[in-house]
Amino acid sequence: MNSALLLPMILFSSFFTGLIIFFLGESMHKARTFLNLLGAVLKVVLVVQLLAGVHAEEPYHSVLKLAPGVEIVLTADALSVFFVTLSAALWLLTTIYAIGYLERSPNRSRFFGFFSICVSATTGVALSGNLITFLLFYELLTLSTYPLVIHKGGDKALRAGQRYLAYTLIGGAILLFAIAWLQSLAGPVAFVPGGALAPFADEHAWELKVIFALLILGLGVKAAIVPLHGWLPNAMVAPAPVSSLLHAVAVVKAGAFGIVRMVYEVYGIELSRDLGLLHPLAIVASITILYGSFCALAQDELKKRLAYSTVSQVSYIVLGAAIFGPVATIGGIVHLFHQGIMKITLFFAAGNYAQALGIHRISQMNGVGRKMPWTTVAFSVGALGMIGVPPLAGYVSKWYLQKGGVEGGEPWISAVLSMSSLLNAAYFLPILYRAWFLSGSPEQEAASPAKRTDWWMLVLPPVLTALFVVYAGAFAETPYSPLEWAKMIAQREYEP
Amino acid sequence: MPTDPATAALWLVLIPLVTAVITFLLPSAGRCLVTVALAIALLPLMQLIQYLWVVDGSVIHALGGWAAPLGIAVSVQGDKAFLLALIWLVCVGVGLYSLRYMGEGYKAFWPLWMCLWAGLNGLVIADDLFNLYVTLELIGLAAVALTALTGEAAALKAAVRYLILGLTGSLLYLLGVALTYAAYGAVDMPTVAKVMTATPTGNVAIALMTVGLCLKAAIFPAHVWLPPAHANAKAPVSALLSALVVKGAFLILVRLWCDVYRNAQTSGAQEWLGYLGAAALLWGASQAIIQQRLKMLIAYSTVAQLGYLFLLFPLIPTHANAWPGVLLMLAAHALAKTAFFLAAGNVIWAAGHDRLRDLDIVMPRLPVTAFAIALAGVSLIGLPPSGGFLGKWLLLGVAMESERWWAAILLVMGGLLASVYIFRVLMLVFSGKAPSDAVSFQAPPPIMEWAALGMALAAIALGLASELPLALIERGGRP
Amino acid sequence: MNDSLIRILLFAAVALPLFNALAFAIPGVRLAAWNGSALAALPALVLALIAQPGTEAFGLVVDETGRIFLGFTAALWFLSGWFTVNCMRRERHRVRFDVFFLLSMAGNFLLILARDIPTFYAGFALMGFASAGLVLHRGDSEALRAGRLYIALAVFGEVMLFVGFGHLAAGSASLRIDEVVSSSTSKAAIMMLLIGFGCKAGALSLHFWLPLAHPTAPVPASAVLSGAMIKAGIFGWIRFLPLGLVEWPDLGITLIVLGLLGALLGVAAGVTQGNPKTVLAYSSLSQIGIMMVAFGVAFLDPASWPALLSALIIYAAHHGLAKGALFLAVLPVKNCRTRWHVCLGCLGLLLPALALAGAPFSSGAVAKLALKEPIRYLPGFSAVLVGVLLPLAATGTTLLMIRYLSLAWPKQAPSNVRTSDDSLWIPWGLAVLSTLLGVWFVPGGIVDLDKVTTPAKVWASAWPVLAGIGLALSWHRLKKSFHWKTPVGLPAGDVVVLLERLVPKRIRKAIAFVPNKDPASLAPRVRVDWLRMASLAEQRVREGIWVLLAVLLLALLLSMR
Repeated sequence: MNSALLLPMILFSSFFTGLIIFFLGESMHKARTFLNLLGAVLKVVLVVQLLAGVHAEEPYHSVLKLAPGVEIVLTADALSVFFVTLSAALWLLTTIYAIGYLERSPNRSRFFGFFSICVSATTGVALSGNLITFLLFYELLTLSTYPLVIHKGGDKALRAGQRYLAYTLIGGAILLFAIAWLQSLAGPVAFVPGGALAPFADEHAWELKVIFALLILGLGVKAAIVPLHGWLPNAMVAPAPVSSLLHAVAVVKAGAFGIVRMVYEVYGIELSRDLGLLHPLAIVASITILYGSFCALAQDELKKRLAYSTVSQVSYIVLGAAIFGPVATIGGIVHLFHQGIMKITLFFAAGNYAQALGIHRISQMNGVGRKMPWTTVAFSVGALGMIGVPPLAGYVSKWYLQKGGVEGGEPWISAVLSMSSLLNAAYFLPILYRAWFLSGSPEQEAASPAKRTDWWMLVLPPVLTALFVVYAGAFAETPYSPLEWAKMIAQREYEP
Repeated sequence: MPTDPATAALWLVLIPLVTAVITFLLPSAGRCLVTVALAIALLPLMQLIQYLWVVDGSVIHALGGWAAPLGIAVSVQGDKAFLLALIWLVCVGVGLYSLRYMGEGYKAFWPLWMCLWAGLNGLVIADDLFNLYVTLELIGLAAVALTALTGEAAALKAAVRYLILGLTGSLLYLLGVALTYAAYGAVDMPTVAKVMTATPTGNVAIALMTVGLCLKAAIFPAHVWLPPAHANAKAPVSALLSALVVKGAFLILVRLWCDVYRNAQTSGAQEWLGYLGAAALLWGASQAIIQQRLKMLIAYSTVAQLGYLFLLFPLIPTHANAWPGVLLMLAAHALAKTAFFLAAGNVIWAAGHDRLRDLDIVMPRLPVTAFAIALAGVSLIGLPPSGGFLGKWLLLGVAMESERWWAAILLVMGGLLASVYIFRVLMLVFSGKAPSDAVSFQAPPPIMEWAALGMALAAIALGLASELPLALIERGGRP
Repeated sequence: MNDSLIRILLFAAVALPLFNALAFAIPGVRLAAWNGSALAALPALVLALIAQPGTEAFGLVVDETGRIFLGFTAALWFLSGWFTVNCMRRERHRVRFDVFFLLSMAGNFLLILARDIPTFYAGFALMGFASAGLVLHRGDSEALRAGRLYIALAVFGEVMLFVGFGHLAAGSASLRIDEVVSSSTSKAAIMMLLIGFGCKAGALSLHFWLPLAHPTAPVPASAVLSGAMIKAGIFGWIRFLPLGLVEWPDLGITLIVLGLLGALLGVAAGVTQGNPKTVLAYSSLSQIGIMMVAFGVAFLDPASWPALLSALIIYAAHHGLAKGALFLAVLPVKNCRTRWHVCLGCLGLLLPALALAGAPFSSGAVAKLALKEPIRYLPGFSAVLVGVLLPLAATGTTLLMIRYLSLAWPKQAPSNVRTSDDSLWIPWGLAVLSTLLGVWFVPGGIVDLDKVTTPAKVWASAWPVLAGIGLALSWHRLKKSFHWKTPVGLPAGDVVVLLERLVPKRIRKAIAFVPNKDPASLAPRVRVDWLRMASLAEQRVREGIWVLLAVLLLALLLSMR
């Protein structure tokens, strides 16, 4: 495959199918499903090829020049491929899930159209090779997720959508401002391992600090850093596949990924440390981790609790970026992947409860384990992973984060992590307890899940992701595991 | 057809003028004739662009063979060619739309529109102050007449106000031209530019012209005529007015300050125009946000977007990226606003009204139109990769280079405010309300929906394929 | 021994229980899986019996300490598994119970066989969380309370361990336990690990889940909880603390004091309990206290560690097996079918009880003597410790055992009550036998029979037990002659009951997850009528347009110089 073509093809494999889907009639179920799956599978195939290429350190570079100093650049390095793989793989599963989930609901063509474009935008965020390109896809992501968030319609959804837009557009505007400022100082900024700004540090130290704060502010909205997280819990009005996408694959991840990019490949981790940027970032991330968990405790709505859990968990990634040293870097980056697969499992399961039994609240979850064993097992695996129970995926990232914290001279990190684990346990274990050990009221007991022929489409994805959670944790040391890949990324960042 | 590129520019004025006369005489053939005229106009336009591209020089033509101080001179450089092309493109969009939209009752539309087009083309290429006045008057009168086309009370009232303020503007401008002529004995721009200095007479002349043009360009606070006029006109008319007409006055202002009055020490006054731009940006957007009618909202959005053009007014002569940035902004706004107004026309066609509150059962049934609004909105907000983004990006770079932080912040804030009113409209699409049969719904013809979408796509494409326009703008150098 | 067989056994030891648990997911083989679960612990048991120390495969390793721990743990799991299959056949949630049982078993074996920290931690967590399912099994409010406490402590312990491991491994490239432990000097890590494993072992002040959880769980589960799983805490200490490497007298003293207090509290609280399983749970607290003393000594005098280690291993094995046998006894002897059963039951109860008390010639005597040996050479107060305090603890244990026996004494079933199943007697009987024989199998020849059977030693073992019996008898007489009532004892779970009273209701509610309002929605909202203000402003501009234009003109003129 021509390496210049591969990247655009990955990008457009979902974009064009999305565009075509828009124009399909509502009743053309088969064509839509075919296109959806075609795009998703094609993307996975292409991404696998890319994975192999990047592992062999082949260069990938595609450029589209727009104006002087404005170039759309697509590149693939280890970090971007990591994120692309996550989004491509989970997109395939989410597509299957969404086809099963939204069967019989109106406006499906619109939904799947935006759905595909949303994933293209995520892919673009991952593959972007400079700040402008990143901004482009970052904004495209905002726009394409908005219709998904408010897909159900109605006042509640519209208000949530409004809030989502208010946060993300302001974040985008701040980002635009920061990027423009950076460009006026340093010219067009490309993502380079080890950072590109070191030559400007002496002259513009003060400006660089302010710009960094602005960048984090802009990206922090999507990464749901406290106090910029307000949109996320409300956005849970979206249908379950969308929540999965928001929390695990696309939006929140794009923010966290952006922060990782800024720290490592725009500023460079050493410059960031020398400018004194890492410490404040670590503190902000820690506050977010704890605050998110505290808020999650108080929620009775399942998806809301999961949403606050995301607030907390995503900041692990930020925390990893904010500690100097390769070990913490590995922890942060691998959590990018691990949080994705764990959270998507949880949201899939939450969607299944809502779909099959109409359960939205934790207090209604008594005894669901017996009725929906597969879903509940997957949910349990995801929840335990989130807590950081070994040998599940979450444990691996926590281990590296905390080891990195101690080695990076920030031992207080372990206090934050352990507090967070305790809180995670405090809000996840009661759910598991209800699901497995309590029995519901008589009418709840009488209700049995609505069995459908395409039920497998809803059950298979969470089970697969749950299996992967186990795999990523238990076999973290095997080649091609997320951890190994994260190690490779960290190595390339620290020894460019 | 012209063989000489210089003549080509003149053809671009002549073709619409002739068409205007013929359509006036043969009203029933208006549709056909205008289509033909639009097609024919492509020839000189292409020739002009190709010439500029290959030769890389400016085309100067003296009408009737008389040279500069006495004759009527026109000149075409890259940026002007770009504007001519833009005008043509907007006219094509409006034309396609009007084919179905303008019913038999609106025969006057075709000749008036052609006059407007001729005036605009003339304004772009004209090189002396008096000719500019003539084109300005031609445009102004045609625009007022087009506004009043429907004959409804609200439209007539708006047209009268437009007329009064427009005429005041022209007169102020004419007064300035007269003063200039009295003081320097010339109205030809290059000549005047050489001799004009910061004498009191010169200052007064420039100030008068500026205020007059501000009125025409509807920059805050002189915008008060614009919203009612644009909102009550027919959709294609609104599109033309918002996309092109107000820009004409702005172009003259730029030439006045950047070419003619360059020598004078006037930075303080230029700053004022920048402040007006800032005020317009905030004022227009906040007014747009509170509007209850779709077309009023779009009209106020124009008020706001004009602010972008003025925001960095003082920097246009000094910064290399400022003028391309402003031109891109202008073009992106023209295309996006055309799309927006045409889409609004579709909505009114379908629903019979444009009250935002009651549109939530209509919008979901107009997916193509909604898509057009969304894409136009992307450009108006300035999200990548639209033309609006690219223009804003260039301006942002200029603002930061010159350390005008307030302007940079306003550029970004303007986008945010725009997103508020754009999404007020877009949210209607997702209301989730089932369209009930009780509401009369008349599906607009596909060509109208696609014309709107086409314009919006052009606004996006301007960002994606901007290398060519930007290169064109640089051709022929600055005057 | 055949190397590949060992490798297979290593794998099977962990994998068989896991696969057995997974097999329940396949509807067709449920019954087979149920019956098969009795044998799930067999590979581990065989492995412990035949493996050479130092065998490595699959990231697992069998070393000397691990082998003995694996041996008695696997024996207990095996017998309890057998017991489970027989006694829970008709229970409603038996599959759920068995799955958790098997998962805990796999975790327990995994942690013992682990070579690396992550593997150990994985096993420890698997055991910790899965066993919560055993505690919660009954599902009533008591089980809920115990379970919640158990999970809370387990999670707290896990987190402490996590942090401790992190500090331990910081700076070391390898994750192998032996390498990491020998290279680390972090005192923070020691503290964290002490607390983390202490939660599991039920060390004093972290013990309060123990008397609640053990009685609540079904009988076979209590047996493994008390016999095998709390030993995992001891095992963790042995594995991860730099014992014999670091001298830290302050910590040593603290541990000794805590241990002795634990032994005392266990007795004091235990003798007043009315439930035989609670009594046993408190006895565990007291026994763990004695083991803690040994760890304290190791921090005082690192040189004595090798001897202490041997003693600790014996002690752990002895306690695990005896406690397991005593727990298992509760069910079979409750309703005996015949007088023979009653007699047999008495014997089966007495033997492990005497062993636990440390009567001469029993495994307990061996263990206690082994433990006293290295302490004897400790400078300072060792005489008091060895001569008075430890024997006193044995007396206490005797009292506890007498209390237990009085509560659990076999009775013949009344005719209207269903008798206990005969099939339960076999695994229980084997457990009693293993109590008798188990310790003599402990390899390494630490125990010299001749030394133990000298008259002085016999007397040293015998007098505390006799004293205990004497005390109990005299107490009984006194009570009878003065008509005393049995005093009201501490409620089971001592400290936690107090804590529960102290913690405000609001916090308890929060921990019980009573939903609250979204904190974000509490912010006050200010409403300003922007709409009217803005449209009014626009109107003003419209009216004042001429003035504004004049101002603009003036401003332009004035600013042009």
